[in-house]
Amino acid sequence: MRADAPALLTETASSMWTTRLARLVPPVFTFAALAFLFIPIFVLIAYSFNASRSTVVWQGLTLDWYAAVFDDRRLRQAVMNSAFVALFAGAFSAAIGTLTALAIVRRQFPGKEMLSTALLAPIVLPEIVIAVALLVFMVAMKAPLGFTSMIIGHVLVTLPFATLIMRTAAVALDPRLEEAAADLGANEWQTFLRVTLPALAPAILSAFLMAATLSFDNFVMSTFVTGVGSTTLPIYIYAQLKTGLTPQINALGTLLVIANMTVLIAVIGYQFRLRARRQRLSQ
Amino acid sequence: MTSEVAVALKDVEKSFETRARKEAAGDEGKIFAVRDVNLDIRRGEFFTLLGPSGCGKTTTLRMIAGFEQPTLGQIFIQGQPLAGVPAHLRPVNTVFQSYALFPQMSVFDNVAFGLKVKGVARDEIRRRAGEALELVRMSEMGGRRPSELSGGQQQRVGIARALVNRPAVLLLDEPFGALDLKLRKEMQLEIKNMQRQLGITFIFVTHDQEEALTMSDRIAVMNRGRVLQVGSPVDIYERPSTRFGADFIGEMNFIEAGRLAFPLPAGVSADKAVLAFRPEAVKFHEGEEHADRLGLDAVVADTIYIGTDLRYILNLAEGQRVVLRSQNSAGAGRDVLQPGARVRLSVHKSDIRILTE
Repeated sequence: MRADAPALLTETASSMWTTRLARLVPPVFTFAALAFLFIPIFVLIAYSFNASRSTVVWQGLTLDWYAAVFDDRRLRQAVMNSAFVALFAGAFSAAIGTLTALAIVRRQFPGKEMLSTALLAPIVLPEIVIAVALLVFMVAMKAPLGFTSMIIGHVLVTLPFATLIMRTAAVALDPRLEEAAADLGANEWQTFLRVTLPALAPAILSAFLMAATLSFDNFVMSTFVTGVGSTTLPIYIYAQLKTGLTPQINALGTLLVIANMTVLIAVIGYQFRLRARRQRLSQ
Repeated sequence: MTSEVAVALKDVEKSFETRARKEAAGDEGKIFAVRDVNLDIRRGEFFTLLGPSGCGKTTTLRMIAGFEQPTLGQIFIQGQPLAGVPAHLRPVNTVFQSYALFPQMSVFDNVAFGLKVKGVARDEIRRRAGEALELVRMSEMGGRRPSELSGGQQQRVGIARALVNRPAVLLLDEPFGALDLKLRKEMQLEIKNMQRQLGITFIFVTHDQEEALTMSDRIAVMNRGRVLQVGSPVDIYERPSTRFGADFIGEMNFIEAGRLAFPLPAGVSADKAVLAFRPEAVKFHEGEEHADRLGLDAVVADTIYIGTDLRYILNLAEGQRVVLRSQNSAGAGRDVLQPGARVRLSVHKSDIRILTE
C-alpha cells in the first residue's frame, strides 16, 4: 500500500503538467490563427509608408505613395468604376434577393423547391463556368460588353449570397406581423411598405453590403465581361503586375482597409448604442 | 339590444386534404380543424371559446379575422356575409398571443398604425391614439420601442392598437398566455372592466378554464373541432352536457351508474350512464339515510392537505374512485381521517349529473 504512494504522486504531477499544457493549446492556436490573418495586413500598411520603390526593401518613411494614389488618374477611374458597379450590383442583388426570399418563404407555388435549390447553384458552380456562359450569351445576343454586362455578371455571382441572407431574415420575420397589419386595415402594398420592408431593412442593408463587397473585389467574372472603359480595380491592379508593383498598391490597400474599418466601426457603434439604450430603459 | 347578433357562424367547417394514413384522417381523407360550428355571438357580449390545444378554437377565431377561409359554411358580422372579404376590410381587430407589435415602430406609432393606413387626419390620430394609450395606462410609454417593454406592457399596447380602431368585434387569441400568473389575473380583471365600459363584443380564446369562467358572459366548450356546449359559466360548470366538458372544466368524479340504486330518466340504459359530481358535493355522511341523497361506502385511500382545502381520495366498493374536497375550516385539520378508515359518503341527488357517452 505504502509503496504505491510515490508512484501515485508522480502520476498526479505529470497529469497536472498535461492539463496545464492542454489549457495553453486553445489560446496559442487562436493567436497563431489571428496572426496568420492579420500580419499581412499590418505588413501592407507598414510598407505603404516605405520610401523605397521596391515593395520588399525598407528605406524610410514617406507619404509619396498616398499622393501617387490620388494623382493616378487611371487608378482613380478604376476605383470609381468598381464603386459604380458594386453599388448597382449590390442594389440589384439585394432587391432581387429580398423579393425572391419573400416568395420562397411566404408563398406557395409549384416548383418552389426547385427554384430555391437552383438559386444556390451559382455558389456550387465554378464562377469561371458562369462567366464563360454569360460571355457566350452576350456575344450571341450581340450585346456590347461594358458596365451593363459587368453589372449583370456581378448580380449573377452575388445574388445567391444576398438571397441566403434575406431568406434567413424572412424566416425569422414573424408572419403574425403581416397578419396584424392586415388586421389593422393595411392592404398588401401598405403592409409591405410599412411593416415587411422596415422589419427587413437591417438584413437588406447587410445583403447589399455583402453583395457590394463581393462585387468590388470580383476578378474572374469581371475579366470575362468587362468592356472598354469599364475596367474595375481588381483588373487594373492585375494589369499593373505586368509592369511591376510599387508601394502605391500598398497605399491603396491601406486606404481600402481604412474605408472598410470605418463602415464596420459605424455598424458596431450603432448596435452598441442600441443595446446601451435598451439596458438603460429596462432598469 | 343584447339579443342582437354581432357574429354568426353557420355550419362552419375547416378541413385539410391529407395524404397521411387513411385511418388517421378518417374515411373522407381529410383532417377537420373545425367542423359543424354554429354560433350566435350577441352584441356587447364577452364570449369565450374554451378548449384544449388543437381543439379548433384558434382556427375559428382566425376565420372570423379573415386570416383563414372556411372550407364550408358562412360567417356573418352584423348580418353581413364575410365570404370573399379580405382581413383588412373586416370590422374586427385582433389581439395576438405573441403581441405581434411592429418592432421598428414606437409604441405610439404602433397604436396609430390602423388610423394612419385608413387616412385619418393627423390631429384625430394624435387624439385617439392618446386616448387609447390612456385607456391601457401606457401614456408615459408612447416613445418607447416594443422591445423596451415588459410582456404585460406589450400586451397593453396590443390591446390599445386594436381598440383605437373602434372595431365592432375584438378578437383575443390567448392574449395572456405568455404572462405569469399574477399579471395574468390583473390583466383579466382589467380586460373585463374595459369590455364592460366600452360595450364592444369580445371573442376570447383560451385553454384556461378558470380564465374562461372568470371573464365570460357565455362560453363555448370545444373539442376536436366541434362545439360541445354553449352556455353561461354557471351552465358550463354546474350543468355540463358532455363527459369531456365535465372533465375539462374543474374536477369531476365519474362513477358508473350500473350497479347503483340510482333512478335514471326513462330511455337511459344503466350500463351506458355515468354519474358525475364535483368533489365539493361529496360529504361524509352522519345519521340516517335520506331519500334525496345517494349513499356510498368507501375506504379512505389517501388524504392530501392543500392549505385551503383537504382532499380525500376514496376507494368505492366497486373498485372505483371518488375525490372529496372539504374546506379546511379551523377544526378540520385536527381530525383528519387516516388511510384505511371506512366511511359512508353521501351526494345530494340534485348535485349529480347523468351523462351518457
